[in-house]
Amino acid sequence: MARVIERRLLARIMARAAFLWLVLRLIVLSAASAATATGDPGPLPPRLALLSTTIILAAVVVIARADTRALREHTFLANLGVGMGAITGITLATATLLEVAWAMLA
Amino acid sequence: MTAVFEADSIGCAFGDRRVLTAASIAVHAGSITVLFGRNGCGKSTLLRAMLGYVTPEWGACRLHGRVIRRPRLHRLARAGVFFVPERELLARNRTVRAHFIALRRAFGETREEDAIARLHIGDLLDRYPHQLSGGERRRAEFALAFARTPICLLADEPFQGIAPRDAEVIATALREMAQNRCAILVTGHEVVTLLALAAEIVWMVAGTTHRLGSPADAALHDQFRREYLGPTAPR
Repeated sequence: MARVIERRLLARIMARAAFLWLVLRLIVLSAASAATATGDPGPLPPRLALLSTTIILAAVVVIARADTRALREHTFLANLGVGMGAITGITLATATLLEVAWAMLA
Repeated sequence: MTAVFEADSIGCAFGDRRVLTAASIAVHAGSITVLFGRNGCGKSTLLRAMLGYVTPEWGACRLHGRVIRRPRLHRLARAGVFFVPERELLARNRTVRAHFIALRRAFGETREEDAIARLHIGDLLDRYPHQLSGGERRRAEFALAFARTPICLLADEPFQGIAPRDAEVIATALREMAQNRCAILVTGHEVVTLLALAAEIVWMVAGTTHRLGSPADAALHDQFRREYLGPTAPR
């Protein structure tokens, strides 16, 4: 796999996942802030936090896959031996790491 | 002779519409097989089923005689299959040169310089796909296929909408690939170009395939002439 996925491609998939995660996390944060009277959501209840994490990760994966197809990059990458599973896996792993890091810092 | 890549009795439906009932095709090393058929008869669907883009209801695909349970293009590509789709293959955000670099990184040695010279794309290398004309884009796509030196090439309607000069350049490259033992499967409607290129003709009609043999045999096939080539086709 290391030979198949070039470093630049790996960096691009990770950067795109990070950008999508950031945008979605900011949307969730602003939605949570808007839902409270004080504007400070504070720590979310565990079930709500888990739900928001799940939604964010699912959305990152769905958008990244759709984007790869829209860029018509998928057929070219498949001809290089890179499947959608690899792209999805790298995207999900990046977003999960960021989500864990954010949860630890929050 | 064992086929390099083979689809056997593929059946496929989209909702209520049955596209393929029992479509079979086999491509052999060093041979160019042309799949003819009217629009919407299922040529592209058969190719897509062979590459895992659609899941057939029945039938089997074989690579070097071994059944592939769940065909996927990326796995087949690692085994030496290359696919040029009907619509663009090139990624929008890469220059033509970047495509060649990616190919080299993925597979090591490629026939890049040879491909660039034969497909006449030397002055197109630093352009993005949207900066290329239809014919230039097609030549760049086939240059990638040529550089890869695949064991099997599947090309969906490669001559559609391009100038005769570009078609001739691509046809010459395909002939050379076949001489180098590549098994090639091509679909399309450009009868003159494709009959000149083919070693074997397969005709798809009513969801199934008919092997018509050589282009000369196909040109004498009454039903093929009547229902596909048309009554004015020269014998």
